[in-house]
Amino acid sequence: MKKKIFATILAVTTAFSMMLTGCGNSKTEASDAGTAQAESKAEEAVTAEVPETTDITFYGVNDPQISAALIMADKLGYFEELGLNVQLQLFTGMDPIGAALSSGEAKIATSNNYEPILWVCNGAPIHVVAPLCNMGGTQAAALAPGVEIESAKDLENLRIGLQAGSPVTICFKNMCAELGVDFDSLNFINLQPADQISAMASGDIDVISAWEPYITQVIHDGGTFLLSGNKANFPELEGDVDWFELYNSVVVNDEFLAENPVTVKLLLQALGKATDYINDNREETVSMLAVQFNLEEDVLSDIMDRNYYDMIVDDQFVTSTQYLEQYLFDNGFATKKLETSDYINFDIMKSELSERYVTELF
Amino acid sequence: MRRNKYSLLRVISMIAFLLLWQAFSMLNKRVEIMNPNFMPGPYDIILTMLQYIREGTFFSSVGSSLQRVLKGFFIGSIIAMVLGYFMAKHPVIENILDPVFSAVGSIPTYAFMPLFIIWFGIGERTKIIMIVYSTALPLLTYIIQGIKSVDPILIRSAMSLGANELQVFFNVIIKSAMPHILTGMEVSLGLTFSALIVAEMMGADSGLGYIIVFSRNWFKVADMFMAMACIGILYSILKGILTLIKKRVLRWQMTSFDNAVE
Repeated sequence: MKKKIFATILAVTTAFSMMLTGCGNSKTEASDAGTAQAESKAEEAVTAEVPETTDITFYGVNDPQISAALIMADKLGYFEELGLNVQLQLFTGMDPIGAALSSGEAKIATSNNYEPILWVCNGAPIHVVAPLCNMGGTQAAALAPGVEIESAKDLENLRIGLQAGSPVTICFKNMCAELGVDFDSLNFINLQPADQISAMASGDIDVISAWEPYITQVIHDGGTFLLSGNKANFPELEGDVDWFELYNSVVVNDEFLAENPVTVKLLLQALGKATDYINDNREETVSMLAVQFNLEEDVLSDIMDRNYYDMIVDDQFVTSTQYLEQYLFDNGFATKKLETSDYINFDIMKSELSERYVTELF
Repeated sequence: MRRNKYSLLRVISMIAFLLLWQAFSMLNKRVEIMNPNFMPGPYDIILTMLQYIREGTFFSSVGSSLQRVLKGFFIGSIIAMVLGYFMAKHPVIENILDPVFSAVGSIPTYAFMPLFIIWFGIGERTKIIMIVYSTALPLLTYIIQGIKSVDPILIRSAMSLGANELQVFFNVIIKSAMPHILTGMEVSLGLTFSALIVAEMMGADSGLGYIIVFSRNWFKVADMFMAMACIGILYSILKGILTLIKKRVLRWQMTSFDNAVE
């Protein structure tokens, strides 16, 4: 009996010891494998590109056109994945960004692709390094609720709200040229987009010309979409048009770009990943951004459907930017004629993100 | 003699400021302390002004803005004087209106823009109303204080000599309160010009405020400076006129003080 108990104890003890030894061994194996993995990672880290700067303030505008990819990259942790500590500085409009880039305070920002031309004309040390989104569809006009037209010519009898100097003017000019409307006879009333909503409510204007979210707001309130840079809704012309292309782009301070090429490349990588996420997960994106922009999800969804989120550098982007540069110069807004290379630098896209670089023109 | 000396000092001060500014601008163009495009000098501003004159838009812009300022300022001052009189004279009215005016008066004019558009439309009337609002409320405080500080003996004396209320108002109260009123008008004038910029964002197609907003959209810094300089000049001229009126109307006050101080 005693021998049996002793044998049992011995067996259990032995088995337990063997188990512990096995764990220890597997731990050792695991730690060996882990060490190998760690060493491999360390090697990768050594050979992987290390950003020159990890703490970056990224400037942008708090809207779905200019900064959707930027905000999503931040929310989804894509910057952090690449070892970057990015602080977003978002504004309600473009003005502070231009000033910040021109003064050198801002090193990188999202912007449309025509204001950098103006900034460069004023000596701002910046270049556009990548597109982010084709937002020509959001430079638009809409009829107020209850207003109808039988042809584009009827616009000559309507009061059209338009912020003086805004790029939507180009849409109207090209629409007039195509549909035989006298641009000079159109009655434009200078109002900021938000004030156009108020003026529409008080019956002081018949047409709102602005960008998002104002256009979609008006449409959801009963207005009628009229035109945008790439869509027309006239009785005599409906569908795709080519009246105005406007892109959102990434703008970088030249000195910062020269001293931090890896950082900029990683930032663009994160934005590219966020852009892909926006296109592949639209519902989730809308859900996250609706809170950010304080918009209802259906409104934001419509707005985002008017944009083409893509970082492809193609001929369309280049020619549209060149068109804008010529337009700004011809109309006296740009103080001097620029070469494309004065305001565009695609070196990083060409060399490091070549899968998104397909232009032949630049 | 002392007044002439001070007038000369003011002129010299202004000239010196302009010369320093021009010197800094020229130095900046050489050494680029900051981007020269964002620090145009007086000469650059004059060139921009000449360009606007050549285009035929300068004088119409200045004229539009001046008209709006004068209308808004004049109407605002009248409203403030009438309202101020009744508030100063009747504590019940003052205690009903003062809390509301105090609360509303602290709200920047720009915040009211969408509401003004909805309430009054986008025409010239709305711009004038906005300027009137910005002028009247700050001036009201000075007027109430001025009227309350009128010596009651003067009022009683006038009444005892047979003056009716209207005569007392114009010949005693307004004249006695004039120092406060004119000081208040000087203060309100600056706010009037601030309101002008906001007002010309609503449906204007001319004006100095319009030029500032338009130039801001297209990053035309020299144009912005030009419009701002014109606003400064207009303000200085109007303030100068107010100061002259003040000196004339308050000659008795100025003379007393000057003679009292060696």
